[in-house]
Formats: sequence, C-alpha cells, structure tokens
Amino acid sequence: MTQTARFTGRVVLDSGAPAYGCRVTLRVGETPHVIAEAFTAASGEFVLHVPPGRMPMGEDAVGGFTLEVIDGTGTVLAKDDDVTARAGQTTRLHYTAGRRALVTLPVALPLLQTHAASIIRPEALAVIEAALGLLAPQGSPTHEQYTRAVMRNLPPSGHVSEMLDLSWAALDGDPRAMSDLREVLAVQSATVRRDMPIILAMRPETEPEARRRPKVQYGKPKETVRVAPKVDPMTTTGRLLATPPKVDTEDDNGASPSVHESAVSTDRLVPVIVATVRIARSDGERIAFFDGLHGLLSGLSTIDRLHRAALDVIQDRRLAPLRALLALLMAEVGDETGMPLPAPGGTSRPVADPNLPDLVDPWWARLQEAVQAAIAALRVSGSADTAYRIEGIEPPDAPPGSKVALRGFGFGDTAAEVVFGGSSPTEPIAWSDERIEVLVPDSARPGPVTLRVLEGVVRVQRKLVEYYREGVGEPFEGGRPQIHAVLADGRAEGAWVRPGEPVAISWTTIAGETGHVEMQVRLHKRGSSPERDLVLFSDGGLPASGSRILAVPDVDEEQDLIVRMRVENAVDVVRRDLTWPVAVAPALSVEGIEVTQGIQRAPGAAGPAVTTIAGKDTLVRVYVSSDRGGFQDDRTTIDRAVLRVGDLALPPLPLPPDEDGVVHPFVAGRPSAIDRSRDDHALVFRVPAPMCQGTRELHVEVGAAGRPPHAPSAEARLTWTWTSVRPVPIRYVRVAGPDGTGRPPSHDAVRFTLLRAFDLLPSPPDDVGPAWMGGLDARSAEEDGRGWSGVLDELSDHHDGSAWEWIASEVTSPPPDDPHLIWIGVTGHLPADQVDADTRTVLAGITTPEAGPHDPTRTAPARAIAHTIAPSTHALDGQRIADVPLDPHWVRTVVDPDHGIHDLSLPPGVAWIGAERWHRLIERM
Amino acid sequence: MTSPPSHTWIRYAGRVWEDLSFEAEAGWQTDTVARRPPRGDGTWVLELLDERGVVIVDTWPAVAFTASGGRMQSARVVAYLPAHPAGRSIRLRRRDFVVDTRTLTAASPEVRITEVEVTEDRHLRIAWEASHADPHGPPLSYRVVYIAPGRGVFPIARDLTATVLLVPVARLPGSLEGRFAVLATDGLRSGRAVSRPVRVPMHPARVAILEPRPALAWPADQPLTLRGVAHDDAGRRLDPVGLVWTLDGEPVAREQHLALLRDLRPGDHTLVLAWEGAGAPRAETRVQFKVTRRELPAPPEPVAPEPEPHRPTPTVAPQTTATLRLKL
Repeated sequence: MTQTARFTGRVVLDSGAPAYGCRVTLRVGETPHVIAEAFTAASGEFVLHVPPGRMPMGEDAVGGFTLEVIDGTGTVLAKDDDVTARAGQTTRLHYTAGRRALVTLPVALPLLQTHAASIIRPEALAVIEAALGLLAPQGSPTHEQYTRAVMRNLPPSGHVSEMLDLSWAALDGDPRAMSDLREVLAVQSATVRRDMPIILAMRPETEPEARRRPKVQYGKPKETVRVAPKVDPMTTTGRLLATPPKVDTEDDNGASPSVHESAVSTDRLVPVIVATVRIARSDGERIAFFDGLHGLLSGLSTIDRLHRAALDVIQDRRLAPLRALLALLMAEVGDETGMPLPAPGGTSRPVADPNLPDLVDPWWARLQEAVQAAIAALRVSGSADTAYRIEGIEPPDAPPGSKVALRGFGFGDTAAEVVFGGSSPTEPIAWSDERIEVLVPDSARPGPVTLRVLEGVVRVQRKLVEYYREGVGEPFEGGRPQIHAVLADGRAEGAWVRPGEPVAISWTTIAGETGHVEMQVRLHKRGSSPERDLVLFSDGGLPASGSRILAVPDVDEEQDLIVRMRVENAVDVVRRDLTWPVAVAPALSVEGIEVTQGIQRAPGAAGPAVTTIAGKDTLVRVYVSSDRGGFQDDRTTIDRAVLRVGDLALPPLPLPPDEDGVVHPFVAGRPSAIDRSRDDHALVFRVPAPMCQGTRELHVEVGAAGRPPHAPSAEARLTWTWTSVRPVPIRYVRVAGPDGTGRPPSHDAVRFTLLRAFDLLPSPPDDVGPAWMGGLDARSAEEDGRGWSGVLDELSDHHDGSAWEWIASEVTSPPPDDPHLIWIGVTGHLPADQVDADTRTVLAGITTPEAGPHDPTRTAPARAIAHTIAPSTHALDGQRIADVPLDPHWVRTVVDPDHGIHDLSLPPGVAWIGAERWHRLIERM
Repeated sequence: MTSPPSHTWIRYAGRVWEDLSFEAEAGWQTDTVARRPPRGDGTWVLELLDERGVVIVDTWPAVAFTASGGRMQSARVVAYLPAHPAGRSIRLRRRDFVVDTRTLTAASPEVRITEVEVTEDRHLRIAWEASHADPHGPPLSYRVVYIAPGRGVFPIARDLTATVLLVPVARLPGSLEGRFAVLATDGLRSGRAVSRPVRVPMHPARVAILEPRPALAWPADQPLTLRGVAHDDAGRRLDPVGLVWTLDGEPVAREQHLALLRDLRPGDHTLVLAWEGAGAPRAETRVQFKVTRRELPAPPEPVAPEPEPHRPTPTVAPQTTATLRLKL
C-alpha cells in the first residue's frame, strides 16, 4: 500500500449542531489498535488519514473498520463497526451523536492562572452565571444569581421593571403548551398562529393609557418590524412584533451596535416559545400562566453577545482560566442537577441530564457547545501543555494487590498519587521523574492510569479550586472487570418490558481490551423451571459495550426477561443476573375514597349523619383500579400503599385471610370489577383517634412493583373534617350478681361489666364514669317482690335526684343531675329489657362472650341503650343505634339488620361477620 | 332535728300491676321536687281527701305498663300531692275503681341523730332516735344520705328499720365537713335530721384505661390509640391535666386522655395511666398488651436506585447504537 486512505466526515447532534472537539478513531475490526485518529473541528468535521503500511489487505477495498466518535471523557458517542475503505480514496461519513452530546469535563482541571479573573472578561462570567442560573431550579440561590447577572447586563431602558414573567415551553409538538398559550390569549381576546415563534408581552392592566405600548416582542428576526404605539399586540394576528429591546451600548470592540444587529438570531428562537404572563383579574389579583424565568428573553441578545465573547476568549487560546471556570461551572451544575461531581483529577462524568426539561434545551445546547469547544481546545492544545506522559505499565494486566511499574517522563520529583480507574488515588511505593512503582488497589478496573499531581490552588469567585498537572495516561489491562450497566430500552432493571415488541438490551462493561463479555437473554415463566426458559439471545464474544435488539414474545401473563452477563479478564470473572418484568405496565387510579366510622350519627341527632366524630378511630377505604389494556385481566398487585394523615404514614390493614388462613396482597383490577361489598376490594386504613381532629388532608399513595421512576403509582387527596361532638356521658352502676351479696365489685369486675355492657358500643365513650355506689342489692330487690323493675326504679330515683330531694334545702349544690347523663345498671344475670327513657336510665344485662351476635342477650341491651340515647324513638326496632362495633383487626363493622343495627357506610346485604371472626374479636375485646 | 317545712308535697310512690293490685313504696314529705313526673291523661287519679272524704286536691299520674319478661306487666306510679293540713287520706283510683287508699296522719314523725363517729375499723357509725306523734300510725322506716358539700348528695341506705347504720369509710366520697341526713317516714309523712360535720378522708382517683384493652394483640405497623379517664371518689370526671401515660416505664404522653403510640416494637408491653394531678390522691392503673409483627406475604425485592455510573473508562452511551446513522 503506497497511498493514504482518507476518511472525511462530520459529526452532528440530533439538533443539527456540530459535535465539536470529539475524538474520532479508526480501528480494524474490534482490535484495540488505533490506526488513525482525529478531532472534530468546530464545524463537526473531521479528516482521518491512514498512513501507508497501516492499511490491511493491501490496496483493495476492505470492510470491517470500526470507527468511533469519542468525547472528552472517552465516552463513545457513536460507533460504526462496518466502515468500508479503499486506499487512495476518500470516504465520506456522517454521524449523529445522539439527541444530546455528553458534555464532559477535562480529565484534570486545567492550568489555572492566579490572574484568571482578570483575563476572563466580565461578559464571559455573565455567560457562565447565566448558564448556571438557567439550569438551576427557579427560586434557588443560583437562579437568583443568574437573574442578577442578566439584569446587570441589561440596559437601563425602563423595560426591565415592566418585564413580565416569562417562561419557556416548546410550542411545536406540545399541545399542552399550545393550549395554555391559547388560554392566555383567550383571556385577552387575541389570536396567534401556531407556527409563529413569538414572545408575547403584556402590559399591566393598571398601566395608564398613555403608557400603553408594546414593550418587548421577538419574532422571526428578519421580519422584525416596528409596531406603532397604538397597535395592541395582543389583538394582532400573524406577525406580532414591535421594537426590539434596547441593548448594551457597546460591543466587544467598543462600537455601539444598531438595534437590528442586536436582535436575537432566528436559530435561537425557533425551538422556543415564550409566553408572557401576568394577567390581572378584575379584582386585581395577578395570575401567572407560565411561571418561568424572569426576564430571560430580555437579556437574550445580551447573552448571545456575551456568549460569542466567551467563545472569543476560547479562540484567543486563553484557555487555562476558562477551563477552570468551566470546570467550576460544571461542578456547580452537578450540584444543582444532582449529577455527580467530577472526581478531582480523576474521571469525569457526563453531565447531560436526560431529565432536564426540554424548555432549557436551546440554552443548554449552547452551553454544551461552549463547553465542548473549550474542551476541544484543551485537547488540541493538550499535547503542547502535557506535563507528563506514562508510556508503559509493567506488567500491563496485573491483578489487584500486585506491584506495577509506570514508565514515562515528567512525573516530577515529588511523590504524588496514581489514579487507577475505579479507585481512589493511590500512594506510590516509589516515585521518580521517570518511574513509579505502585500497588494495584483492590478496586482497580481496567482502563487508563493517570497521575494526580497538585499544581496549585486558586480562589475563583469565593471558591478554592485545585488544579493538577496535565498529562497523558496509559491503558491498564489489570484490575477486576466490571459490569457497569445493563439496560433494556435504556431503562434499568425492574422497568417494564412490553410483550410483543422489540427491546434493545444495551450493556456497558469495563473489561479492558483483552476482556471477554458474554450475555444470555432468557424469558422466564414465573413458577416454572429455569430449564424451560426461552433463550432469546446468547453470545460469548461481545464487545465491552454495545446493544442488541431482541423480539420479546407476546405473552399474555407476566413473565420475566432475565439478562445474564458474564465478564472475564485475566484477573477475575464477574457475573450479574438482571430481571425485567415482561408485561404491560398498569395505569393505576384511585377510584374513590370512603371515610367511615363505627359511629354513623351523632348521639341525639336526627337521622343518619355523614359526619365523622372527632376523637374516634376512623376507617378510610381506598378503591384502586388498574388498566393494562386487558393484559392479565388488568390485574395488578399493589405492593406499596400508604395513607398520610398529618405526619403519620399509615400502612393498610391486612386483608382478611383466605380459607387456608393465608393473607394475600391487594390486587387491583378494572374499575367495573370493584365490589364495595367485598372487603378484599378496598385498601383499608385505620386512622387512630388522636389524629381524627379538625380538618386534615388524607393523602393516599399506592404503587405496584417496578423500579422508580417506572413503577406504576397513583395518588389521591381528600380533605376531611371531623366534627367535635360531646361524648355520651354515661354513669354506670353494677348491680350485684346472682349471689346477691351486694358486695361492691372489684376493679376487674367493673371492667368486665363495662366491656360487656359496652360491647355494642366499642368506641368507649370517654366520659364513662362509675356512679358513686358500689352496687345495688338485686337480691333484696327480688326478695321484696319488686324484682328487677325495683332496681330500675331506684336507679331512676338516683338519676333524677328524688332519692334525696327531701334534704335538698339543706345542701348547697342540690340536684338535679346532668340531664344528658345516661345511667346504666349492669346486672349479673339477664333481666327483661328495662328502660326508663324519661330518666335516661337502662338496666342492661351482662352477656357472655359465647353469646352470638344474634343472641338477644347481646342485642337487647344495645337496643335499650340506643333507646335511652334517642328517647324520641319509642319503637325499639332500630335505626337509632348511635354506635356500632368496629373490628380493628378485620376491618369489618358490625351490622345487625335483624335488629336495626347498621353501619350505614356499607352497602345493603352485608351480613354479620362470621362466628370465627366474632370470636377473635371478642377475645381482643 | 329539722322540722319539715310548712308547705310541702307528699311524695306518693308504688307499683301497680295489670290486675290493679298495688305495691306501696315509702314516700315522704319534701319541699323540693327534684323532677316532676309526667302528667297522665286522667285515667289514673291520685286524690288528697279531708276527714269527710272531700277531695282537697288531685293529680293525674302517668302510668305506663312495661313488659316484664312474659310475666304480668307493671307500672310505677310516682306523684306529688300538696300536703294540705286538712288532708287525712290519699286515694289512688283508676277511673272509678279505687286501687289504693292510705291514711295520712296529722303530724309528722320526729327524728334526732344521736351519734356520728368513725370507729376503729374505719366505719362510720350513725345512730338516731325517732318517734311518731301518732302512736297508732304506720311503722317508721329510714333513709340515710351523705352530704359532701360541693360534691353532691349520696344515698347510702334505704328502707331501714333499725336506727343504727355502719358504713365503711372507704365507700364514701371524701369531705372535710361531711354530714349525714336521716329521713324517718311512715310512708307518707316524714321527718328528717342532719348530723354535725365529720371529716371523711379523700380516696385515690379512679383511673381507667379504655383503650387498649388488656391482652390486646396489636400489629406493629399500626399506631395505637390510648384512651383513658380518671374520676374522683365522687364519680366526677377529672381534668386530663393530671394524666400521665407510661409505656414500659417511659413516659409517652401527659395531660391528655387521648394519645397516640407509634413505632411500637414487637413484644409484650405494659401501659400505665396514672393520675398525678390535684383534686384527688395519686392513683394508677395498667394494662398489658402484645405487639406482634404482622405476617404478610413477602413483598417484592426492595427497589434499589439506579446504579450510579462509576467507571474509570466511560464507554458506549446507551442511546448511541440506536441513533447511529451512516452515510457513505
């Protein structure tokens, strides 16, 4: 081969912007040996020359070249493993590097001069500040800093003070933004063309008539026109424009730009729509429709100029301070966006955040370009600035714990640190200017080995920034391999993989040039043997990183896509199994929330009430539905559910066990399948009584399995008020038992009496109190012929005070008693129903736990008590019960339709709980 | 001894059965009617007659029969008649049928308390003497009430025939100046006497834990409601400011009758509610309950965060392959 093969091409972003400063390498097949490399220019173009003698297979056309586009961190932005070339010819290539280029930091912070701040023009600083603010959440300090930076560079035109709130939204393709925009305009009876990228400016309604004139508006710049002051921009259809804003008085050269020269270029505005914003209602309250960045657009032209100024700085090759500032900037961005900060002197990371909203995309892209330009410039100049170079590692594939020697020059005489990939900087064993000996750390990975030699520390804008010596590292094949990431359609393990559709399995490993990567993809049916899995893919000779698109079978029930990765190098073997559920992701919805209590009406109130009583346990039933397009009958297991009440996060009560005593998780289905009479069709939460006060928000969150943010979830909020009602004041007296001794009851006996007496009033009235008497002598009452009715008579006399009325004139605080007080005598054996509604006195029988729910010994006292509480109802046939039992463990409220005891929150047809549950309930009472 | 006031009612009480037989209860003279009974429709009439059988005054008591477990129904009759000095008999009739007639003596009984003492065995001994102006009048019976100034009046004995009463001090609400009143009645006419003040010691508050119930088994992931009350020895509810909740020896809430326990650890627990405020001596009660870890189906594996990119050698970006376009 005597001729040089030449490859030319261009790398662009999806947006069409050139990818500047990327490294383009050409290799033969998957071999590690690079036969040619180049960097993309500012236009994104590159030229690769393959010198004579490096072209394989003589002069014939050959395929199988591998071309990679790599950014500053070594991240492969694009890869083509089937490039065909012929010696003596030029091959044109064109690559799209993806939707966003990955903006990276220099491997080492650049040489930062102590006079950096004086070199960097204030405008460039403003660019950086603006970019920081733009990326920062609104309201954050950084955003405020940005706002100040913009405002500082705005002309004192008087427009600023009237500048309206602005926000960004992509209009095209975003119907919601369009709808919002229409809404804004509708308020003002204006129209706008969909394809018209504009900024709308609105004046405050309170503005005097004389000052009403269009303030700021941008359109397609070539169409920028002046609008007569009397033209109302909001009623203008079509081009909507007016005078562009005034800009700074001088450009970089000190000349005053004309108005039109400072107009914003079209390519900046095209992808962006800006809406304005403050609309005053008739009552004077202002409504912001787009809560966005303040005044950004007003400063766009200024920023645009500043941006160019910053690029000028770069092109002036005053690189070091700018690089330092960019590094600082990116660190700030990392702080603001949650992205990881670069490791000092070590690896750098992508900072493009896929979660960044599109609305910052244009500016973000410009920022990326600026940073990339700086990095590229750094790279270009790197060879001249290189302070050290590692030329060899011996042995090149040493395992962790063993000693290696780094050979090269420029290491310096003072020992510093060696940086292996994947580990923190390591102290060397021996260090000289041309040779370093160091132990391979345990966490070392294959990859480049660099040095971390501190050159100095400077203060930049109140921050101390360390900078390190530039240099060139050397690839290392030792260390343990790593499976860095395995994704399905770009999503991590746990995300849903849709059946019947292709899925792209991508992987990123660190195995070094000599590593070995294997992957197997299987479809596993849950509950079946792994031997019966369907193998979708299996390959033992994969590159370190890549992806494969697989067809996922159209299964009709949830199965698992299991990816088994195995990476091996000379040091170690790493395996990893990852699972993605193959299913149609459910759309969960909270169909309804019911709030109920055992109490269904306030004591003494007429009729059933929907109010809930403060200070009583409350049940919240949540109905959840799932829509999976019919997949798996739309059923979804809910594995996360919480009800938040104040600062209390409540888990749901367990579902009732099935016939085998097994408690199953809650399963949501179609909305039409929800049956309110089924206790397993609702998530039930118990809000404890102390939280049931006043008005609170009930916030329900439910979710199904899946890795966030892909896990299906739903939430609902409900504001609920509990009504404070005077508790039922009850005094009780225990009537002596069958033995007729008349002895005062023991504490336990009283408690037993109370529980039995109130076992149909399970939310105990908190004003229950004992009478002063220990007990009435029931036996004597029987013996003197008056029977239990005599006991009731005496209770009535006590209640209404007639028992001591003959001495009333002698006492300072005579009767009567509390007219709302209810006196209850509980007897040792069952008397007939004894009720004196006039004196609100009842004689209730003590029943045994064995008595079933329909046993009249249990229901009769309840009815009697109900009758005393609601004496206006003479019939004892029900609907007047004030409280019904609540089973705290099994969620059921007790209903006794035969005796008119209902929990009105339940639909008709719900019967008593089963005998077994009842027994358990009694045990717990 | 205290004389009956000059203007009084006579309380008439008894029980009438379906067969119109009547069982009399002891009534009395009173100048205060604590609660006027409901007025009937005139079917039943209670009359006060003079010596000649002329009706001086009448009233219509309400008589409502209630079921009595399959047995004969009965109704309580309570009425108050103004005690005109000329009255000599009282008659209860249902329309024209006379159900009960009783003679009303001209004078009322007299009673005098002779002794009020605290015995060595912590009893109050009360003794009295009583006499009837009419030696041929009906026999006397006695009622005794305890008066605790500012706290109430508490009947402690009824239908006594003896003239001595022993009452355990522990059963009486405390008072610095407690007094006893004795009513002597022949069934209609009555006299009363009030003792000298006597000191009755205060008793500890009565504290009750209404929730949780003893031996409760409670799931650990659910907050637990605490509800309790304290009453003084007179049965009055005490302000919650003196309540102290203690769980396993550690105070968990104060000054509230309703409290919340959360993050309970599984195991046995002892909850104590103590009254430590003014108004009653200290008292406490306790319940033991169990917190159990709920046995639920095993949830899916906990969701781990996305693996953090941590790589010394960045490699292929995930989206690269999908977006690669090649033009030759």
